[in-house]
Amino acid sequence: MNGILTFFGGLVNGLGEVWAHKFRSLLSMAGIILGVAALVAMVGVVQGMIGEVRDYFERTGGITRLMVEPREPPDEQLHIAHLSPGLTFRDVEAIRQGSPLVTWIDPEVSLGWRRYSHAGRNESAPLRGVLPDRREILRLQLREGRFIGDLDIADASPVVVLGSWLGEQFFPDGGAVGERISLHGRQYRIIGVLEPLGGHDAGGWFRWQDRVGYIPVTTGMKRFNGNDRLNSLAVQVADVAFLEDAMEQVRNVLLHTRRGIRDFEVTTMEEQLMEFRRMERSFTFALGGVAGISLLVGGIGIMNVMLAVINERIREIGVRKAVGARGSDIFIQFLAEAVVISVVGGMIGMMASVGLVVMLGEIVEAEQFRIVLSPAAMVAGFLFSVTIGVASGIYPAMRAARLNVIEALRYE
Amino acid sequence: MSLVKSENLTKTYRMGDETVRALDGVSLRIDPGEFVAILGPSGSGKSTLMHILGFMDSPSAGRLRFEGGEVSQIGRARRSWYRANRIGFVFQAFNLLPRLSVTDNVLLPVVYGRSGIRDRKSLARVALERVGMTHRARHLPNQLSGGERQRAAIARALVNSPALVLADEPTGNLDSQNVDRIMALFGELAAEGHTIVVVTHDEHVAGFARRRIRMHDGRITEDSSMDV
Ligand SMILES: Nc1ncnc2c1ncn2[C@@H]1O[C@H](COP(=O)(O)OP(=O)(O)OP(=O)(O)O)[C@@H](O)[C@H]1O
Ligand SMILES: [Mg+2]
Repeated sequence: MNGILTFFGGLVNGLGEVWAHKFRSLLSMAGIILGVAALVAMVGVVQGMIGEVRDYFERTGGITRLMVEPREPPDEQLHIAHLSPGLTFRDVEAIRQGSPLVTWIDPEVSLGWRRYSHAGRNESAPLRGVLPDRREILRLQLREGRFIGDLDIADASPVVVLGSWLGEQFFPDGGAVGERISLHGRQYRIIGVLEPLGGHDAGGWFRWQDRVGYIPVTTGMKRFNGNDRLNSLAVQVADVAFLEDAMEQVRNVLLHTRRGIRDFEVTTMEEQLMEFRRMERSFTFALGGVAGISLLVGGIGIMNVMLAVINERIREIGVRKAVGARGSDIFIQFLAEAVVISVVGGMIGMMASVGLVVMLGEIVEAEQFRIVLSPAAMVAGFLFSVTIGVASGIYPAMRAARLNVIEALRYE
Repeated sequence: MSLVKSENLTKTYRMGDETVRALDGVSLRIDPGEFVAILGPSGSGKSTLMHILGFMDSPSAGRLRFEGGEVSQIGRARRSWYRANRIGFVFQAFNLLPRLSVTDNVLLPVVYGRSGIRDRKSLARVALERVGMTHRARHLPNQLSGGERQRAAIARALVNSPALVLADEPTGNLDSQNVDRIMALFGELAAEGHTIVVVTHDEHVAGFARRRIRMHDGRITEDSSMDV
């Protein structure tokens, strides 16, 4: 009870001491302040980057996506490898019929960068041939018009859906649907314009996606390539629980269309997920290390200052003891001062961290990623700094408590 | 019953091969209400004796009883309690804490004494009234004259109504006018029943006390009382 009272008295006294030596106190807090600010800023940067990757991962199908990837056939099949037609649109039809566990099929004919022309204006942007399923997987929203439909696929119609960037370039005031745009020397009817993918402060991948224009996959095959080859093929499974079975189904179907030649592989996103987790972990360690070291340095700073403070105040300690202070009273008094320094430092650090995050946000362009101000990191940094401050106050306070009265009184 | 009774108090310090005898068999008795001056040349052991009487130091040998109890039996925390509550110490260098007001300085023994007294302010006022310093209660030590500082320090020594007031050269840093004023104050306090021991090497200062003890080389060479 009395100890608590002494502690509160010590806090008041400590505030007085901090205030009486504003500049020195600020210097002693510098390490803690920078440590907290660095911690919060690093967490913000890493969360921003990881959040971006996680968003990307989820928006591109997440863990329920299966990809069909080309592979060297095994040695015993090398001499018949040419019999396999490779990745073709026939695979899509076969999977649709033979793999009921697959909810969406996502083939793509990549047509590279193309020149889009309308009313004397030219813009370069990627062009891709896809199925209506693409809209579901990427959760594309339309600003106007509609996305590619089954009829467009069946007819291989000359229609195009513009990404939000293209829409903005050619038709800033809207009214694009029904207009014609020239691609690859032919007129395409615009049937829809997309909304931007990731909202307003999204980063790089989403911006990139916003440039893309889409045509029916069959149109891409017929009018551009003249064959039914696909550049990539992926499917979405309804639930992770069916992932293994769906893989098996897709594998069997494809073995059939490939005439038994195993020149492909069905892969999951698991590897990407692991990679992502690894990245997250190594970021966390790097971040923890940097923050830990800077806070440790902050703690050493506080200990250093406390030792100097005690040296300056040996006489005061002697006087207090001479009029009845016990060792524990002196210990509590100086520990309370360390608490005041670290608490005030931690609070200034939290304020500084807001400034730092805002500043970094200005420097790192939104193109790359967004920096998040994490309240949890602020609280953690604060608590950590207080712990460090208290811990580094213990030794100096013990030294003060053990001083001999007479020697302390005689100290000049 | 005596307030303080010592038998053969000895204090030695080892300085390399040499042994310094700061106190060399001091036996004395001080009764309640006495006003004692301890005189002696520099290095004769006056301060050492005061520190031992004031529970700040322990003798190397010999016995010391305070209020009937054996001091060597008292533990560390309890010694602090005695310093706060039963003994008031006045220093040559005043030893006020510069960042505390006069009132807060005076209240230090009350804070550390843990007597549970709620009305601290009036305790401080009573002590400051006694030394004529109520008008400086809110001042900081560096806003006071030397004489005022020593009076504030005496108020601090008196605040818990101690059984014994010890003053080690309390006039050493004062001009002659203030010397007389401070010593007259001690005389009044003694007349009111306080027990006071003042160390000095000034015969004039010692003249204010009723009993004089002379020391030399850690021994008492003379102990005389005069009737007034
Ligand atoms: N910590 C110590 N270590 C060694 N010797 C000491 C110590 N303290 C005191 N002494 C010695 O003990 C002797 C008595 O010292 P003390 O301070 O009691 O003298 P004093 O009578 O108060 O002198 P003064 O009038 O100068 O204040 C001196 O010779 C001093 O050098
Ligand atoms: Mg002395």
